[in-house]
Amino acid sequence: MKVRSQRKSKRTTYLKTLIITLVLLLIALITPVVVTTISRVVLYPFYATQTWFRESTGSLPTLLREKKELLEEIEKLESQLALAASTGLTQQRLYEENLWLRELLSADTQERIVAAVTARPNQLPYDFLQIDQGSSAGIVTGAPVYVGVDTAIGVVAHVAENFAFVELFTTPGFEATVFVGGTNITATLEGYGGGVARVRVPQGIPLTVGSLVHVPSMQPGVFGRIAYIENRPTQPEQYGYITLSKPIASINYVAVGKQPLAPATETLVRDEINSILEQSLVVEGMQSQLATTTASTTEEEI
Amino acid sequence: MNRLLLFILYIVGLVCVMQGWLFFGAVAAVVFSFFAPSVWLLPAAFLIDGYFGMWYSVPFFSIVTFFWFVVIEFLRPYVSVWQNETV
Repeated sequence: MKVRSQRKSKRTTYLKTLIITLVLLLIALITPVVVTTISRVVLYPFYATQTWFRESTGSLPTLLREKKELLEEIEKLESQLALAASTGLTQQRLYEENLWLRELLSADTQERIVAAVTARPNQLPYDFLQIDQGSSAGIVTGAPVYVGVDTAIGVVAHVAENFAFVELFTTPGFEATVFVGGTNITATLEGYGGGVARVRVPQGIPLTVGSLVHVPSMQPGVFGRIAYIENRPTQPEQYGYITLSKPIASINYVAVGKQPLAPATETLVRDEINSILEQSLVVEGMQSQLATTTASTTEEEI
Repeated sequence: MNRLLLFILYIVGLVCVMQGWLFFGAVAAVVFSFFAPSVWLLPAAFLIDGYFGMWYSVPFFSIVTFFWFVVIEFLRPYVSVWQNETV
């Protein structure tokens, strides 16, 4: 009897709870504003704690938040560093490979004269440099001027005994035939002034920011990278703007070629472009070929 | 299970659902149901629906908890018998 009574009591409680819950559900559905308000009041401490942790400028939440952000930043920078290291290694490999190929082709390195820059804009008209070496040191008019190993910035425009003037590629009115890497097209470079030059190409040619601009009439001759593209669909042409790799104000020393630029014929320019294209192809091919040889062949097989 | 532990589990489940970690909230609810009357989950579900403003449309948490309550309370006697026999 007692067991039956306990079971009956449990069932009654169960049914009562069910009925009360259903009634509460109905009331809540009829008056959602009341339930929502009660919920917000009851759960406010949780909400306040959460907001405090996420947005407060207090020392503890800030410390915890900053620690998390710093860890994320460190992780991001580490991956960037790893990427940069691998890119640097690739550049070094390509540079060494380039030197090796040039040796194979018996391409002599041109002798150069180092000169210090003694005057620059604003002391001079824009896009001119004055250097401290002249004809007495062997500088001749028309000689190419470099910054670094292969970055050509202009030509010698006037030579005196102890100084010379360099006309930069960015001088307004200066024109040169250049080869734009990436899209692999030949275009005319125009000086624009203010340390900026531009190439003009027809619409439809996919110019990309960062493409290298080579000067095939100079050996070696890379002018810089396309920094900005102006493309208006209503215009027949688009412009790729190139800035000097180093700001004019930061150029302290330049290297001047001993030989003046030879007049560039169409054949010479074409040959140089082909050489640039071939080099870019050879780099990819050599890598896989060398890897295969090292991995699978032995001395006996050779 | 200790009442304090049950209370902590209840609050943890509530916070988990408020944070949108539904899986952990569900696990906490299931564990809680085995050691305490599952009817206590109903007020929490009501509050959560109110917190998310779901009473204006479909009170999802309340409905699910209600059905969970019905199922678990229906099963509880059988589980208790099994536990008694094992012991």
